Amino acid sequence: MADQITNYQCPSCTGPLQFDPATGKLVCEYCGSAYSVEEIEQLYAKKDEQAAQNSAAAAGSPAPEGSPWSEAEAAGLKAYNCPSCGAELIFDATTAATSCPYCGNPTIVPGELSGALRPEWVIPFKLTKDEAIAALKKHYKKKPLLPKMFSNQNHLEEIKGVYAPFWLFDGDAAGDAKYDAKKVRHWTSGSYDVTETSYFECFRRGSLQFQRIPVDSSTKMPDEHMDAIEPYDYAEMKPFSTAYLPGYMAEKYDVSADDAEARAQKRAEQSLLDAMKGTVEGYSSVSVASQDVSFLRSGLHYALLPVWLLNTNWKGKSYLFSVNGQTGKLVGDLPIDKKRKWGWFFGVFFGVTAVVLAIAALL
Amino acid sequence: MKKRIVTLFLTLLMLLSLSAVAFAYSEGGMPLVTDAAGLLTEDENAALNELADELSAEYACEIIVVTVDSLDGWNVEEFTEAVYQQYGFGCGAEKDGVILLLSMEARDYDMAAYGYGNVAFTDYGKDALMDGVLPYLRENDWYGAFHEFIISCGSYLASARAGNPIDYYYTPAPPITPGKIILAVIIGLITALIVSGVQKGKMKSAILQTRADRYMKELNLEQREDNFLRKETHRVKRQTSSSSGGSRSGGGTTVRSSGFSHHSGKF
Repeated sequence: MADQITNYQCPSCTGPLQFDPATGKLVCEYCGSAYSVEEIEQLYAKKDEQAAQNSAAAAGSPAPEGSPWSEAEAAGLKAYNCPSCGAELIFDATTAATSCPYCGNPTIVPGELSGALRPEWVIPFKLTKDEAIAALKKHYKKKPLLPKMFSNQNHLEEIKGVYAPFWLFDGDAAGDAKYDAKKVRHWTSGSYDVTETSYFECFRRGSLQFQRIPVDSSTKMPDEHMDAIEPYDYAEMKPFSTAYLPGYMAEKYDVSADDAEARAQKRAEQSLLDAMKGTVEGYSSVSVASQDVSFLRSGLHYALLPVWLLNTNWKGKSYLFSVNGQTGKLVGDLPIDKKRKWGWFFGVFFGVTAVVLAIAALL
Repeated sequence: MKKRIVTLFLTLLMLLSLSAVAFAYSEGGMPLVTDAAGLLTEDENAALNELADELSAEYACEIIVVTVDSLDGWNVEEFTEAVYQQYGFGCGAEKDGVILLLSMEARDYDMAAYGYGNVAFTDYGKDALMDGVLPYLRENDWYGAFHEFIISCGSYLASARAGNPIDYYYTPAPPITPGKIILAVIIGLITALIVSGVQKGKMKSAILQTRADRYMKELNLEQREDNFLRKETHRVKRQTSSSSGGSRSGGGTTVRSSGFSHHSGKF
């Protein structure tokens, strides 16, 4: 366990550096200097190494008897000192980057993202905080069932940019399936209507290669949200560096790859089944008689992908929205106004019924 | 034989016309309502004749009602044509008119039109008009039937003179049946459910993915077999359009080479 944490300081003025999604550089809030990720990486390479060594040393030594934090540690909490202001910080076990609540400086726990835990890839934030908030405002539009006061009265309780840990699975799905298919033809012969039904049995065996199916590996991130904000553009994926993290929170995984694999497997298998069924063409109807597919993992990658999490509160209930930090895609469930729901239901019902009756009366 | 019957009929009508001097007369000298079968009282006969005369004059197209006991083996439509022509019914040079003939022996009726009558009384128009008259005939309400016929003919002629002969396209809306209401309610309900579903769907966007199509390469199909098993053939005799009784469709008037158009049947 790391007992030292880092924050990236401006080489010119020692002010805290923040990652700027617009320029892709680390910018000093105080003197305005900007540095590329590579420059900062080189500068801090030594410091990172030092931290890793310390972390390894600390992991070997048992916790001292009667330590004041043993209880907290048992509950999955860890204590550090902020390198900027010296305040004591308490993180939970999976936090790898955050901000100091006292001085506001971005802080990284290198031990949580190094060695075996070091992510292979990172997609840097491209979407700014303001753009994420704008995406939420846009999300409220064209929603007839949204309570009228929701968008005005609810207030943004918390907004945080999080590098969410994902497992990316490579693998192959393979299998076979049997289908019952029918071809139906109609024609008239003399004074008879003739219907001819031809029955077929179809068989398909095939395989599909998959690359980097993402499965979020943090229990803090709701699975539905992380699935729904896909896709990420992997072309912009960069080799991991902690220099992308300042200014954001970062989580480390707490769902093992083996546990997460089931979700990737299910999706890959369904894709194969659908693709094979798609090749049963030229029939009037096709039904699946039997199917047998399996997924074999061939590669595994660990990546941090950017997510804006927006927490809002309305009438004592909190609503969570997630925004893809790269593409701006926003997801999140909204409350439904019951009066509006029934208003629409009966409005449409009576309206359509009246129109159909009017048409029926004319025919 | 034809001549004999017509002569017989003529005598019958002459007798009748002599006894009804106050009646309205056609341009050919015959009363417009000629009740040879004796279905009407004298007062009724007089009232109907007056009405027929008035409307015939107004629209320059004679509205004629003739009743007979028997067709003497004639076809009802040919009989009507013969009566119309023999007794000089019809208004003006074109002999414009419309006639309802009843034969009591086998309860036959024929509504025929001639000249301008063919414009005012389309196939559909005759059908619709008789729909209003037949219920009275079936009840043996002769006065009611003829009154309805003459009044309806008047309104059809009014429409035709105004440039809109009553035809398929000008029919009033049929009443709303319970079946139509149920159909409309079902369509309304389904639409409302679909719209609500779509709107509710918009409110829920955090959904687990079920497929991984974005991350896959081309399908490698190693085996593909489509085996024919068997064939089944069903033959169903087609419903012919004439048996479905779709005489209400289409517009216009079917005029025979004789110059008449007809709508006939039993009452």
